Amino acid sequence: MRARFVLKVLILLIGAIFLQSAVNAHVEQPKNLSGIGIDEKLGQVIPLDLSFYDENGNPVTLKQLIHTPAILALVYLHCPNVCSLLLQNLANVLNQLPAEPGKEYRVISVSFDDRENSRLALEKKKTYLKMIQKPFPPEAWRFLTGDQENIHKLTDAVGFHFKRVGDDFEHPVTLIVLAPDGKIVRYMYGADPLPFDLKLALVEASEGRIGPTIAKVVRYCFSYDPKANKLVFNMLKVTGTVTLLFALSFILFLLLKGKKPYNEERGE
Amino acid sequence: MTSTGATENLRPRISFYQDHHGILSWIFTLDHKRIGLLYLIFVIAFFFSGVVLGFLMRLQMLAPGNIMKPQEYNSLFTLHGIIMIFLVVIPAIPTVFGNFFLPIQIGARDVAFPRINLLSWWLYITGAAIVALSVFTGEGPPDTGWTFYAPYSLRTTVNVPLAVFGVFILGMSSILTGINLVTTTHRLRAPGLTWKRLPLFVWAIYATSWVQILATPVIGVTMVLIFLERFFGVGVFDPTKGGDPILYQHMFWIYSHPATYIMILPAMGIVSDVVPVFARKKIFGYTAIALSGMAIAAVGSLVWGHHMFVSGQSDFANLLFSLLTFLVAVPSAIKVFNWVATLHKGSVVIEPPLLFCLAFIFLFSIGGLTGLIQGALAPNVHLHDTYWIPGHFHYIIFGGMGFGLFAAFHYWFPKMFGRMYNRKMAIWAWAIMLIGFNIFYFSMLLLGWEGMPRRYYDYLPQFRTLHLTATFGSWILIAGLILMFGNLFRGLFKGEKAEDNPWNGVTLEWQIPSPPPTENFEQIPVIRHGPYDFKELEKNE
Repeated sequence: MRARFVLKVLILLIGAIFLQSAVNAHVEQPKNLSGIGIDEKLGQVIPLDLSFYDENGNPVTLKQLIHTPAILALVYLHCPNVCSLLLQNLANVLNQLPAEPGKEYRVISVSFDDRENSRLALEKKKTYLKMIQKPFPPEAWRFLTGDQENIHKLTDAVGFHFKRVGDDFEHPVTLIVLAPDGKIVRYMYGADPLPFDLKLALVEASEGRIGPTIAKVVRYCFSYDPKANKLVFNMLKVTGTVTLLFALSFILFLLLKGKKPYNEERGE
Repeated sequence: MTSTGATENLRPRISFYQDHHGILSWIFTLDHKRIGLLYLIFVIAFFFSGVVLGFLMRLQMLAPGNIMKPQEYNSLFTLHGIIMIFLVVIPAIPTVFGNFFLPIQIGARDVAFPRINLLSWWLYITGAAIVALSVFTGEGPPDTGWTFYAPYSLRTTVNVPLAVFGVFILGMSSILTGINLVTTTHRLRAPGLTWKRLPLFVWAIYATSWVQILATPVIGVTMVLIFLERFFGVGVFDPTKGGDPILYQHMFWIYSHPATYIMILPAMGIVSDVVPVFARKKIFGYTAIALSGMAIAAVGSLVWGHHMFVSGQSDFANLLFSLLTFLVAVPSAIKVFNWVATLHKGSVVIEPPLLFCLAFIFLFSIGGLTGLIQGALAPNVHLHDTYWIPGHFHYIIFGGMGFGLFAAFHYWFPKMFGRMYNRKMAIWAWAIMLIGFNIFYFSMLLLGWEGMPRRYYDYLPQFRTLHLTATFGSWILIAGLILMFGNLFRGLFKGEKAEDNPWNGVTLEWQIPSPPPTENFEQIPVIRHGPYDFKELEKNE
């Protein structure tokens, strides 16, 4: 009897395992359901012949700008929240970075909004350079704007997927570190890069080594809506209540039943 | 403890090993002692695979970049964590020693639900097999860290779902063991064994079991939600689908912080049982130790938010969790003071089990005090996600739970196997491990203090010396481990025959033959005094 019971349990469990691996094999990972996010392209080289406009409105290609390790920041300049935070934090980190700007690295911000022009870029550049409290050569942080075609070629090359919503955008927040030859060596997610990470990434970029992504929680430029999650919260409430009810009845059972009578135990 | 059948119990009887033969008599056994040993075999096997993974991680830090690729390093620390936490330290003491000794210590013939006990073991094996399967199938082993933080765990293409499913099954095993041991303690105590006469190991396992019952369902639900999200696209944790990654962190730590008490409480129980035996003195503050265990279980269930000080939760939540964290240190300190007070003016006999307990007290104190440092809000910002954190929790989990487990090995070995290991060799192994341990993990604390982030496969040049020291320490530690397990293994086959009560313990397991007979007691004993009344023992002799 006992063996049969155990056998049944075993069969059930083994069945569950196979079912699980079958499910696992056939379901594709849902990638970027809403079309926003990062598709990492570590190790690939971005096209350097893309042409943008610098802060003075002069055309410039990426090739002219990238000959040291470079930090690429994809933002839109009139962004009301996370991108400005990213640039502010970046300015802050650059302030602490011992590496020499212009010689050992440079920063390139590219606006992915094709409606923005170089006049706004120049204004922003002045603001952010002021935030770096040490002398910072202006040619070491460039603010580029461009047309739709070039912007999309660049964002596709680095796997950066965003969407226009009215006047604003939904987009991931990340810095991308490039080697001197334009190879993508690291993605640094989130709006607050750490000086340590950035330093390590730049060292690796100068050696052309590709680093894995560290902080993997991507921040997005839209907020969390608790109302949309009613189902989940209800589910949590239900399971929590069931667990507590079970525990309570278990305690009651233990207290009411008390110890097994002595004789019964002895008579085994 | 005196038993009515004291003289009868001295009669030689066949042990539970000789009762039945063959592999089937083991894997379908209902005997709590055999089930305990089944767990033991697997716990040791997984412990060693975890040690090998840890060894490789340290080796990587010897020459970063030359030994393994970054992705491999990610998988390595993930597997090290999953194996050590879910397969070794959470189950080890309750399932091996709780199963084997709790029924004997309360004068019962078996646990309350022997069949459920066997089911727990099968679930454990199944969960472990699934976790192992996740390493070799799919697109590679998990790389999320043992915490499976969302949304990364929802997006990574490697084999996370299978590992998560394994953890779910292991959780079920853990809950069933908890229910079993709580019921056993309530219902099967021998006549005269009141709550105030329970050995402190039983109290510790009892407190632990409640945490297992109440906290484990949360991790189960969390793992199910990860499943729903991965396969059906329900937005629970992923912000692109309207979910909340912080919710995941809450749910994960509501289980996983109490889980650290599932690890440490039973080890505290072992220390409370061993110290009085080798001090030949009644334990100091019995009630305080017993109740502080329950207090740790209760308050420890409310401190999970201290893992999330920098996650962006509210300042009020941070303050509250920090305060509770400081409060939970109080019952832990009560225990430490009581153990030391027990040793004070005792007739201390230096034997391997006691030495391991002393190491526990020392290492656990360092672990506990470093815990207070990172539990304070301001230092936490500096220390968060640095090497300090793994340094701290290895002091607690390995220095505390691990050395407690080793104390149990050396204390109960003669009772479980009826043979004795080489005591001198055990003391050597203890000393080597203690030295290696401190070189290894203290370097990690220093590295973290200086800002070395955890889980990085590489480091800046200024950290080189400390990394080398830590790796060097890991070799000493592993040498000690090999010596210790080698010595115990040799004792299994070649050790001299052990007496029934080699340490002169008073608790019930020492009043029956070594190894115990299948029925444990020919007659259920009647208890007339406490578990540490050494005078009573002398009276009987």
